Amino acid sequence: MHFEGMSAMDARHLVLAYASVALFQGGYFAWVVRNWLRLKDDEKKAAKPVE
Amino acid sequence: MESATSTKRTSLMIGSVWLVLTLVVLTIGFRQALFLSPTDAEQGDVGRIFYWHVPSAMLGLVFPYINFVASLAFLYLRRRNPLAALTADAWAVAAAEVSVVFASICLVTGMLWGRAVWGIWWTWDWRLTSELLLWLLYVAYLMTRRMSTDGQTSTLGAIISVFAALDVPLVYFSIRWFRTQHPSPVFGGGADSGLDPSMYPAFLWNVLAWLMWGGFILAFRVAVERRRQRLDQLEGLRMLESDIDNFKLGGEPERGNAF
Amino acid sequence: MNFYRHVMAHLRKDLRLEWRSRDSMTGMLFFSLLVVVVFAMAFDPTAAVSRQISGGILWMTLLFASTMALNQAWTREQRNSVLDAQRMAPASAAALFFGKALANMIFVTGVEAVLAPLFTVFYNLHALGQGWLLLIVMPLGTWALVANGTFFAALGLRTRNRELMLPLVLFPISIPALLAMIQATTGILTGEIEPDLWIRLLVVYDVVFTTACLLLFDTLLNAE
Repeated sequence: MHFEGMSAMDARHLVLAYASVALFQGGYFAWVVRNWLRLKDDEKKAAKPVE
Repeated sequence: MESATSTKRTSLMIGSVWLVLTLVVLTIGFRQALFLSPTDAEQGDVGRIFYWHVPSAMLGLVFPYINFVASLAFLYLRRRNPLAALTADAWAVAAAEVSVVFASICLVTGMLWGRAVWGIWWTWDWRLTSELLLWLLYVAYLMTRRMSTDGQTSTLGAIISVFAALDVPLVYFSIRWFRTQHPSPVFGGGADSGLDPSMYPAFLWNVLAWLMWGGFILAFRVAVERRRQRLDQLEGLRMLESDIDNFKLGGEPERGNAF
Repeated sequence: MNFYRHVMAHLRKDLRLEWRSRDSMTGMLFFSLLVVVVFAMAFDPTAAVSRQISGGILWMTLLFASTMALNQAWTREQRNSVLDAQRMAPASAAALFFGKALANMIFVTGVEAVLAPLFTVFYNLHALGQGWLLLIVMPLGTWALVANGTFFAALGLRTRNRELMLPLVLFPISIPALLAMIQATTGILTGEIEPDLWIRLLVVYDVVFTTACLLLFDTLLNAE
């Protein structure tokens, strides 16, 4: 791979493509993790017995 | 209780190991695609987008099938075995979300590639158009789930999923006919003249990597959905059991569906 | 035979309701008229151009008009919990759906009957292909819109913002049908494209989705 500087559209778009892949997959992963952690909290709350 | 905790721990461990393996394979795929595979003679370095674009496109076509099968299973099991039906529904929603993620990547990377190689971001070629419609259908599916009232989400989602599955072949053929009647000037020669053997390792590593990642994120999402369902049931149960006179809500009732 | 009797009963009821209020017909008609005028102003087409675009405009107008009317189609049944009564009735849910879809089909066809001469006048149309084929394309296309539209309008009843829900689901699912009817109509008007393939696609679409709607309507009506 030879980046002759970021001005070339080739290189720029390749980097952008990789960034977008990372953004979409990482973003979705982060969102699922967030829901998971939230549910954990909710489960703790729910586990407390109601008087 | 004991066994439930240990099952949880085991699945957590399997999940972590799988994630680490996936990340390793992803790194290998990344290295193969960027540094080891030869530069495409016609397209230059931007041709390397291919290694993320095509696996995403392939997986974006696989996950809708999981969604469809799970939805059919849900419709069949709905009255017969509600608990199994809930599992099927968890798979359906997870598969739909993952399909949208992969289809979005396919569209975005495709546009970036198209701008560099064809000089345009988008063309109404049949492949691009069908991919866009697939994306639209599954976004519509997720929107329906989001907007439906509690308790009906799964059934409505399953119905839309069946309609979407019936629609896909019709979309595919109609767009194909449409575009063969108006040939677009952009497609002439191009990337489709077969893959050079020297590109296979990078391609196959990336397919494997994204397959592993897709499997991981799907299973993870299913697990989260299962948890949410269990929590829902628990709260329903507590509602039933609680004494109406000194009824107190334990925590915020932030139901609605978060997904 | 029982199914047929139930369908007819539902159809008669819907026609009578519409005859008494005439809400959705007048609404659709006036809306379509407005769209035709607005589009004619926006494009200011010559005869040749209008042949190219009026197929698209015609179907877009009908799509939007019928979406508006279909949103109201089930609201009538919700007043006084009529829909709940129908869920408990021994008649099959598919008959309810089919009757309603037929009624909507009649309404939209009525609108088309008024719209067709308007189009011819405002856009200076005369077909260069086989004009009589339009008599096949119009009902097939209308049924494709109306059958799915009736189904998804019922689905919309079960969601929080139903006015929004119908187009969100109906449009993506209808795209192959829309493409087919627009292409067939344009083909007939310009005489450049053979409409056969598109008419066949419309027939397949109608058969597939009507079957799906009939089979799944019971599930939809009792979706709890």
